[in-house]
Amino acid sequence: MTGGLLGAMVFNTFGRGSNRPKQATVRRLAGLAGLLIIVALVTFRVISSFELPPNLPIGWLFCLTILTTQLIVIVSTLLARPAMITAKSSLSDWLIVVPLLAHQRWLAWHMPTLILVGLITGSVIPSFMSLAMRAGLPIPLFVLATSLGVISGLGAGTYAIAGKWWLSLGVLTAYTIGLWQIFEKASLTIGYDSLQTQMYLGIVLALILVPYIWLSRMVATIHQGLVSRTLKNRYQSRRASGLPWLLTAFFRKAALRTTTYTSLAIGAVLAIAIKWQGIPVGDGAPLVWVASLLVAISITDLRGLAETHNPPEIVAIRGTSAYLQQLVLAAYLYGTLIALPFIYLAVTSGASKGQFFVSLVIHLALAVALGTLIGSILVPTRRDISGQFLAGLLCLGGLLGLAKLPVQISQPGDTGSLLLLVTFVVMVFVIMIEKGRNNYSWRSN
Amino acid sequence: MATGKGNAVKAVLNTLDVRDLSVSPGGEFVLSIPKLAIKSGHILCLAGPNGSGKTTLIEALAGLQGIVSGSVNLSGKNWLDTNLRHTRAQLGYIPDDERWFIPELTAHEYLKLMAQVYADAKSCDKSTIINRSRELGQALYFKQFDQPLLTLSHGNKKKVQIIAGLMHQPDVILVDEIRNGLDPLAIIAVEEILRIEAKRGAIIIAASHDLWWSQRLATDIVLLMEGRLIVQATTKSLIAKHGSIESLFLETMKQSLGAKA
Repeated sequence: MTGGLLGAMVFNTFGRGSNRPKQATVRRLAGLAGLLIIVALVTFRVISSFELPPNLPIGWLFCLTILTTQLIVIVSTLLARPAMITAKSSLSDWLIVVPLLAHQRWLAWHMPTLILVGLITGSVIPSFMSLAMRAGLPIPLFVLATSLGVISGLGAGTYAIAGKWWLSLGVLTAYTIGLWQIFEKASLTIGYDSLQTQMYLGIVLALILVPYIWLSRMVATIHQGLVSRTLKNRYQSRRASGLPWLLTAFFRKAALRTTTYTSLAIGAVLAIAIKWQGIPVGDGAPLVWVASLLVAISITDLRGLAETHNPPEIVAIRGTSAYLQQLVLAAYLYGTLIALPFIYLAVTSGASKGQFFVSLVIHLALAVALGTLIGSILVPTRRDISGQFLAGLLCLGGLLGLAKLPVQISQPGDTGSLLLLVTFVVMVFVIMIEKGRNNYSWRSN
Repeated sequence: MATGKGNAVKAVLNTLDVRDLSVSPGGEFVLSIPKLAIKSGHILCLAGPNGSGKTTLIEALAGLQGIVSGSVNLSGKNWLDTNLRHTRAQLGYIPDDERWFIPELTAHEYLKLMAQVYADAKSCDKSTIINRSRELGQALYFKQFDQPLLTLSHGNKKKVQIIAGLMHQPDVILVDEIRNGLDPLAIIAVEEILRIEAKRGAIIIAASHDLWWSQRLATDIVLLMEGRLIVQATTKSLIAKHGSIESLFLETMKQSLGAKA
């Protein structure tokens, strides 16, 4: 049965829009394969002339191979995405209703993506293989690294994290660098001489890396169970008096949970790496910028979600200003949550920790307001990759712009930062009014 | 009319038991069903104004809506667990969505694929299911088996969905506005098929705006309004009390509007 089902899925994706779907599928796939052969030849030619520096550590090569493969797989999944999105909503429902085993359902849904990813990856991997071989990476380690890259790349591309490509890439990079540190430390201790040791280390890495891929899904499932127990009836508004209720309501959406896990993972990897390596943070200026950027981008997501998701509790809210109050509160709580690894660093770091902490708090306060403002202007939604990317760029630009302002925003007691913050919130309010947000479900009387 | 009566497989006596079901498809709308039990052989028609939750309930029972709380059991087994393949193979679902199939296949290929899926899930013979699909096709006056589904008319697409939804003789049949797009002959045929399915022992839940059709077909009626279950009774008792389902509907609507005013 699986063969027939998978074939149907392939025709559904590649034969779409044609009155002769099967012929169209063969024609389109053959055309793509032809194009990729040309890409493969060009890539091979370019990479053949490229030489890596001699005597690179094997751990370095191993992690570079994982990263490169991840990048190729994620980019190919991204390229495959437009073909997958169109008119697929009823098909995903169809797959839920039809009595299939879980793996059949998964395979049927992802089959076209896997074909595209396979074709694209297959056209460029041999070139990288030759490069890695020339640089001295043993074949078993290359196979292991490539497999890890493919699995983690696919995991990131096909599961919940897939909604945020740039975050997926960021978190995978940060994660792999973290693993590289483990690998390097372990390799330096044990030595590179034994292939068996390297294989052992590779397997340990696999045991760490692969579960990560499924983590967001697992946590989401557990969370769903918790929500089921707490959300009891229609009149949830009675519960809306609790302070973080709007944030709790937003957390029911997988999109926000994914953003949270990813942002926290990036922060945690950085914090762990800094603590582990004992890197001095000084006044923490670079970390403050990273934290602010991460928080601002995450907040744009929260703001975007607020535009598209009306939790049942929203019926208790009266008017735009009341909603804004709740939203700002939720945004600050959420920003604090995202910044936790950085706050930990600020509290536990060396001599300049006071200055680091104050600077962090002020920047975070501004980043939250900035993220809310940018999210209000742009409203990035799930699967809106360009919107999310643009929101990210605007956050970066906004934070860099803040640094150029004459006000000393990192100085405690300076009113400039407070003024900016209030200005941002007022602008959000004006935008909400202007956009006619009265269409929302909160009561206006 | 050949409706597969001869090959009918008696359904196992079942009860679809809905308890404290709460479904939130998005926005502020929440469907709440405190208690609803439908027994084998019964045809339950869902009535209610637009946006009352008929389709949401059908979709929730099909496993397509996230359940906020509550449970749905079929003879003690969790009906909503989409991974219980054998249990889920007892579902026949006919939605009001003409994209509900793989349009790149021909009707024959699609029905063959579905027959294989159901045969695997129910561990039964595929040819029996295919034969049944032919009988249903005959009953519904459907002949375009070799035509790609995307080129079929709206009504013929609906017929394929009906065949695919009933060919495996499910124990629970969920239909949403099944009459939409069908010609009068096919509507009569579908009505007859559903009656035969009920006699076989299937549980049938149908959402429809046509109250006269519901009155003619249903053994039980549920009236929904703004996501709440307002009335649940047998058709006979409702007719005895209100004269017709339409009268009940209009009375309830008036009361509801009066209460709001």
